[in-house]
Amino acid sequence: MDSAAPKNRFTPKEFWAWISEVFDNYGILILAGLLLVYPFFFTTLNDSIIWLEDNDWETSAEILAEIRGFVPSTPLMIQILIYTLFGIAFNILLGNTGMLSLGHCAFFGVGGYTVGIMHAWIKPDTYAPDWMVSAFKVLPLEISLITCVIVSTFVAWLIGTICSSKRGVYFAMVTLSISMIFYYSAQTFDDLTGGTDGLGGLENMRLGSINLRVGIMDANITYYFVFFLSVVFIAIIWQILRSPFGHVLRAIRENEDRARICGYNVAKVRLMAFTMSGAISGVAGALAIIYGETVPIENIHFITSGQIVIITLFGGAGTFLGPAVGSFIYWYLRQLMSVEFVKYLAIFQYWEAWVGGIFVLIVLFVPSGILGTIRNMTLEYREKKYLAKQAAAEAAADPE
Amino acid sequence: MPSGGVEFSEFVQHLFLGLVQGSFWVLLALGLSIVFGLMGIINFGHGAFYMLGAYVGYTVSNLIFTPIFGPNVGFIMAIVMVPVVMFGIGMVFEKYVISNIYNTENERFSGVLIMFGMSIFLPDFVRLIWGRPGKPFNIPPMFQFSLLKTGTLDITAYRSFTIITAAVLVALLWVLIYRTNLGMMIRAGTNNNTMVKVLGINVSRIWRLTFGLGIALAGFSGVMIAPLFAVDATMGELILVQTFIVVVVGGMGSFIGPVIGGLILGQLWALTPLVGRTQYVVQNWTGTVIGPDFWEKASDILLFIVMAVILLLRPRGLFGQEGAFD
Amino acid sequence: MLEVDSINTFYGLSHVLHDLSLKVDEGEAVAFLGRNGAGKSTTMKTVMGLLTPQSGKITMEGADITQAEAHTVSLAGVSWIPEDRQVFTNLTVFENLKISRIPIDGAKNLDTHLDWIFSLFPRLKERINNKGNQLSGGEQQMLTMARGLGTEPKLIMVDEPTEGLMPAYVETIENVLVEIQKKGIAILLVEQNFRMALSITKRAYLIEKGIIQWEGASADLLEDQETRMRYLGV
Ligand SMILES: Nc1ncnc2c1ncn2[C@@H]1O[C@H](COP(=O)(O)OP(=O)(O)OP(=O)(O)O)[C@@H](O)[C@H]1O
Ligand SMILES: [Mg+2]
Repeated sequence: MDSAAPKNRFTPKEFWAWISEVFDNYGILILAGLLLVYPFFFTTLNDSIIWLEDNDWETSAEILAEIRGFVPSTPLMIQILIYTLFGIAFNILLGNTGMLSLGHCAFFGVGGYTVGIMHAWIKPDTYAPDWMVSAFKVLPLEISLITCVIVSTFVAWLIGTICSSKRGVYFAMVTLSISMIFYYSAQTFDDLTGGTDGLGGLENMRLGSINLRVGIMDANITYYFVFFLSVVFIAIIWQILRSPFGHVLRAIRENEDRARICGYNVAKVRLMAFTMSGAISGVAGALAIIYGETVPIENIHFITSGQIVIITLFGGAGTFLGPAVGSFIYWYLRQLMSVEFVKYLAIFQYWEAWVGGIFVLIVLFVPSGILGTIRNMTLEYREKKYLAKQAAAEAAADPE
Repeated sequence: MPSGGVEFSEFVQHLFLGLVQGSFWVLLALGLSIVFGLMGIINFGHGAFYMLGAYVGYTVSNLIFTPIFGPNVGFIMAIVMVPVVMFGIGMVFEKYVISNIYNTENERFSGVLIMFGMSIFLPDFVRLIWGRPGKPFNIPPMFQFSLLKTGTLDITAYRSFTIITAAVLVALLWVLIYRTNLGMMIRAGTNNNTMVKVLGINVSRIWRLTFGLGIALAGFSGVMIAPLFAVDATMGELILVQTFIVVVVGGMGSFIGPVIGGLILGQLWALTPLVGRTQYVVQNWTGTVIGPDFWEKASDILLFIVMAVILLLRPRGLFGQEGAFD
Repeated sequence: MLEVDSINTFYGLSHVLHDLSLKVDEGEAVAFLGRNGAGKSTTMKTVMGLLTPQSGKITMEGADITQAEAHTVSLAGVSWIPEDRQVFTNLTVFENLKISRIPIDGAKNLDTHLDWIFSLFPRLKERINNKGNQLSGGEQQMLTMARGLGTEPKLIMVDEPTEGLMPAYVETIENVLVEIQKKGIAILLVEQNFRMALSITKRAYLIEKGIIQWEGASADLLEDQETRMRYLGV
């Protein structure tokens, strides 16, 4: 029956099924490819506007500039990349282990503050040993990044140890509470962290000899730096989740008691997953401050945890690339609202109200997120197709 | 006063302030804990609804009644009407939002996430309605005196009023939970929801009432605390986390847990700044004396440390039931 | 009175009850027997509204309760004594008994009701102020039955009341079942002790793998060893 249907009819469901299949198999490569060329695209757009202006094509330049307002800029893409990494790291817990942590702002913030404080306070001529002073004019980013990984791993391990006796929603509550200790510490010890104003003055960030300072002009360098690190860490997570360890995580999500009976040390595995997730979130936090040149105190506030939960849920917590989709939509919408929409309606300046409201709606109406919903649809479709095929085969075998 | 000793009156003053702070924590923690026990939802929006209560109180008092009847009547109307309004808001919210997630996959996560979403939504929503700057909310004139004032000791009338109100409310709550039919149904539902249904009791009504009660308690605390601090969109954040700490330290699943937890932590919080002023000298690892400045700031952070220690040594909290909610 | 008309119940994808029909008349005692995992408890939960059948119809005194929630079913006059007892462990015996009276009369005329309950279960009177978790298994079973009688049922569904009890308690339970029948309350009884079940009931159903395989008079089944052997293994 199925084979008799005309081949050229491409129903919408079939189309989605095809998209989802392609995305399942090549999604990462496609995304990575697109992201790799993105800065060229945006630079070209910028250049064309300038060229049009130079050649007195005023109207065309204006139209194109108007369009540019709706195209994500390279700095915005940096932000999206960072939160993709953060979200995928966070999803090691939510999507794979079934742990809802509302304390990931701690790692994101600690990662950022570690790098920030090192660059703001360690000037090689004051504190560093002589060899460092002679080798580097300023503290190189390699050293602070490695320190950041170590520190955020330790913090994640510590918080994990404290919280891991808790399960379910209680775990969410405890992680949130513990994470806020960092927020209030940052606020309290403001001579070190800059307090509520944030920690500024981080212009001198050099990777070896490359200056990563972000102006609109050299955003591309930062972009590729962030892109490279994100891809590396996302690949690591991908490997971890495909490994036997990843299967244990999902076994715990499905049924913790059964996993325990199967002989896994559930507490230890949970702690390991938590530590890994936290450590990589710390890296994301460090990248965020390289991009932003300051460490805003909001990075360590639970609103940041909320953001990452929204991003992950919106994209689809059950899927690997969900956070990438979520991150894109979240930041793109946020940018549009706060820059474009707000021109027409003042109500769009209340950004957090929108986030919170949309968040509630997502939980209520699209609990499996965008990618998750598409996947469920295609799974359903495939199952139906399979059943229809079977029925047809049975009917053929049984002429009655 | 320089280091080298703490006057007795100062000590008492801090005890008093700790009691005020602790009373609010007790009220909030009880609301949180009752709702969680029955419905399995940790209300991450508790702080936000507390803040909303303060704003509703501001509107009732300063915008509606004070211009006509003066600030005393305004304040009384606020503390009477806020719990009623917030109770209604809570019930409506439960009916049209929360009830949609019952019996869905991951219903408890969804509940937590919805309330968390509210804790992000409400502050900005309040800014949208009432404007960005905070609102002044004065102590009503009838409470602007001190019951006792000697040296550094100042037992103000309003603070005493909050303590008494909180004590009365805790007593009323206890009666409600342990001495009324509704309370019996709440306790039974906390233990076994299905059997309550099977006995012919409409559980969803009880859930709605309980959720409304929790929100009403939060809102009431908000309006009670408003005269002590200004009303501000972010006022619910710190206190939400502090309430969580109280619940973790006191232990969920018991009535006494949040009460004792709140009172102990209140004292700890209020007495910490005095440490730097005693004659005992505390040094850090480099031998530098840790000065009064540090202890002034350390109160908030100490609470977290207490929580971490409790979580490590006694995960169910001081009075929590064994294995009840881990 | 209770009529179950070809219901199909699922746990997720697994199909547990297949076109199951049964009925219980007013004041009638009916035994409902089958092996472990046959679907007896599932049937009761479906009637009670704790599970929803995908097809079929359940009526109580003519009123459709197929989609009704548990509390509506209870108010329609059906009571359920679950096999795992499920007393409220954090409530006292008194409160456990009182709570079932709240939907009836707001627990106002509690004394007359309790007099009757204590005449059935004198043991509970001694333990009136103990919490549910301080009771023995037998006491918990008695409390569950007593609590289930509080909703003034017209039909009481009892799921394995004597499981794991010592003989003295088994006798009490049996007497109580006879006693409540005299009050005109219908009984649907699931019980592994088939002799006891068949001796105090009038009719019986045999269920296997979610399908009713036999129905008839209890006295006949008590005689018919072959049928029993086939469907119960005894
Ligand atoms: N919650 C559940 N989820 C999935 N399957 C279930 C569930 N409860 C019961 N079952 C299955 O449904 C079938 C019927 O179970 P049920 O409890 O109704 O049997 P029963 O006749 O009461 O047996 P017993 O004498 O052991 O109490 C069994 O095969 C059981 O494995
Ligand atoms: Mg059974």
